[in-house]
Amino acid sequence: MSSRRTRASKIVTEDELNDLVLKLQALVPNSGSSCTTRVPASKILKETCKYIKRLQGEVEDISERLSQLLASMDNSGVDTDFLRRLLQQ
Amino acid sequence: MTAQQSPNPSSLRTRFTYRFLRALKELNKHRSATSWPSYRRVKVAADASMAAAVKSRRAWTRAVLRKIRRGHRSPRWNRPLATRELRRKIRRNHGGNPRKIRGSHGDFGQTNELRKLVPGGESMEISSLLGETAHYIKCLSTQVQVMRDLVDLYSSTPTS
Repeated sequence: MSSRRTRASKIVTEDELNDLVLKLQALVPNSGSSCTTRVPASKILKETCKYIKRLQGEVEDISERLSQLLASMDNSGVDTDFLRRLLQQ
Repeated sequence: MTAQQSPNPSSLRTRFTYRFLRALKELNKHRSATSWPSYRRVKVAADASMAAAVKSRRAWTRAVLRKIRRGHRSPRWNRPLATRELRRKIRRNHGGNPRKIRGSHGDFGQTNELRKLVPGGESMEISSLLGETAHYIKCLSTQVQVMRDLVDLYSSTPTS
C-alpha cells in the first residue's frame, strides 16, 4: 500500500518545507500571518496543534448539543426541509 | 508536495451536509423509545461524513475511513482492547516511536504532537504531513460550520 511506504527517494528542500509551513500559517488564526516579521516554524506548528485541538473539541461539543436537540424533537426533525434550507445558505 | 486542487468549499460543504443529514436520519430511525443515540455516534457520523465527502483522495481521510470500518466490526466504545492494540496504545502514550520521526530539520522536531492529531499522521513524511494538515484543517472548519448551522436551525425550530 503506497500509504505505508515512505517515499525515501524524494528529497524535500528546506524551502519547500517552509513554503508548506507558510501555507499552514495562512489557515491558522493567531499564527501571526499578518506580521511582517518572520514567525518561526515551531510557533506555527504549535498554533496549528492548538487550533486542531480546538476544532476537534468544538466537534465534540456540537455533537453533544445536536444529540440533545434531536432527542427532544420528534421523528420529523430530520427531514429534507432542513436539508434544503441549509443548502440554500 | 504542493496541495492538490482543493475541493470547491461550497461543494465540499454541500456534500458533507447531505451525507451528514442522511447519517442523522439513519441514526434517528434506530432511536429507541427512551433515548437518542449518544453524542459519540453523532460525532462519528460527522467525521465519517466528512471523510466520505472528500473520499480517499487524502491520506487522512483514508485513515479515518479505515478506522471507522474497523470500528464497525466491533464498536470501539464497547470492545475491550486487544493486547496488541493495548501495547501500541501504551507505546504511543510514552512518546511514540522515535524512528518514525523523519527529517533532521531543526524546527520540525515539534511534529510529534501534530502527528497525533492528524489522522494517519504518525507514518507520514514531513512534507505530506504539512499538506495533509492544511487540508484537514479546512475540512474540520467546514464540518464545524455546518454542524453549528444545524444546531442553530434545530434550536430555532419549535418542536411540534
